[in-house]
Amino acid sequence: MAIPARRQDDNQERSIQKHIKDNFATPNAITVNYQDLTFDVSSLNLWVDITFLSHGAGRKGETMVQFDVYSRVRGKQPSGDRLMTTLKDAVQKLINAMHTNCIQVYDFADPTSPALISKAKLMVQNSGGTFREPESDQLLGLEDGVARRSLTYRLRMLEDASRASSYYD
Amino acid sequence: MWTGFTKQGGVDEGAYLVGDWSEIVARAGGENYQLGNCPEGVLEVSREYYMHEDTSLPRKVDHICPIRVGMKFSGVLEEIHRRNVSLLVGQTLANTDSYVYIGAMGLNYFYTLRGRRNRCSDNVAVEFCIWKCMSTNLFSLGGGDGAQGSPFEATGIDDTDGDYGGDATNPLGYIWSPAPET
Repeated sequence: MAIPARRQDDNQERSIQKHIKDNFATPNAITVNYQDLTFDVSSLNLWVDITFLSHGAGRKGETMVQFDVYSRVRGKQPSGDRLMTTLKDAVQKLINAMHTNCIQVYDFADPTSPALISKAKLMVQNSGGTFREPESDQLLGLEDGVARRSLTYRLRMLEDASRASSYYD
Repeated sequence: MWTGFTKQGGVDEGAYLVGDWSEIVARAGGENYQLGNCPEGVLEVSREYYMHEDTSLPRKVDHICPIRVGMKFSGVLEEIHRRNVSLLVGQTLANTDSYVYIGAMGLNYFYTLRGRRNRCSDNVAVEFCIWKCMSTNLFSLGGGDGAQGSPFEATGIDDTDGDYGGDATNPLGYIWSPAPET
């Protein structure tokens, strides 16, 4: 028997991507790569990669998601992001977007019109127990003239927080 | 067989509360005092009943009546400064003296205690209020690597008279909780 839609990894991944699209990418006009292998960065100065490191939310575990924010520094050219202010601003906007108690989970059986699943929520809580904050935030230096800052978030399903679930469908 | 069973397990997963009581405020003398971090805070409503059993065989309960009800909040106050120390040893909240004298006969100090936490799924607050409380904890300050706090316990007293905001229909305090989420 298949586990219910709200606990399926694919629905959770896409729900997180939807949250990022609605709250970060679209309002800030920042390009986000939602796990697309053909994603071409050659014409971009700023972009964000989403990688799912592990899945466990909805199975009494946790899901780790990593956001890599890239900004083109372009050597010492004045047009580049040498002082990394663009990178910092983008990361701040990402932190703002993830500064939420819960991310709504949708059923993507029809990817063009996701159906909201009532009461299915992923909560942002790092391993220290603090809500809405990232698990880690690291500046990973330069590679090919591109600066990268990497943030990870830990997500749990709200119903996993219940100590005793008498029935886990 | 009853046919009303429709849902096993959680009915409203969005109603789970996770984390601590995030804000605790004591009010005395028209002033609000933020008590600060209070991990492991527990709100307790105690109720006791008297049960009478008849003399049939086997004996069956034929009467139950409530005989006692109380409200209490306990936790750990982590911020140790003269106002909190004074509160923790049962003295005034409006303390402006760095010396807090222990052991002298003094007044009873009462305050209204309110606490709030947010429901994770929709950020709606859950609140409690105990109209008239007194600190009933012991004061104990340990040592160690983490932030060291003292146990805190506030016990509610009947405020039917309304000295601190209560009344006959609301004598001890209240718990405010939101409607189920959709």
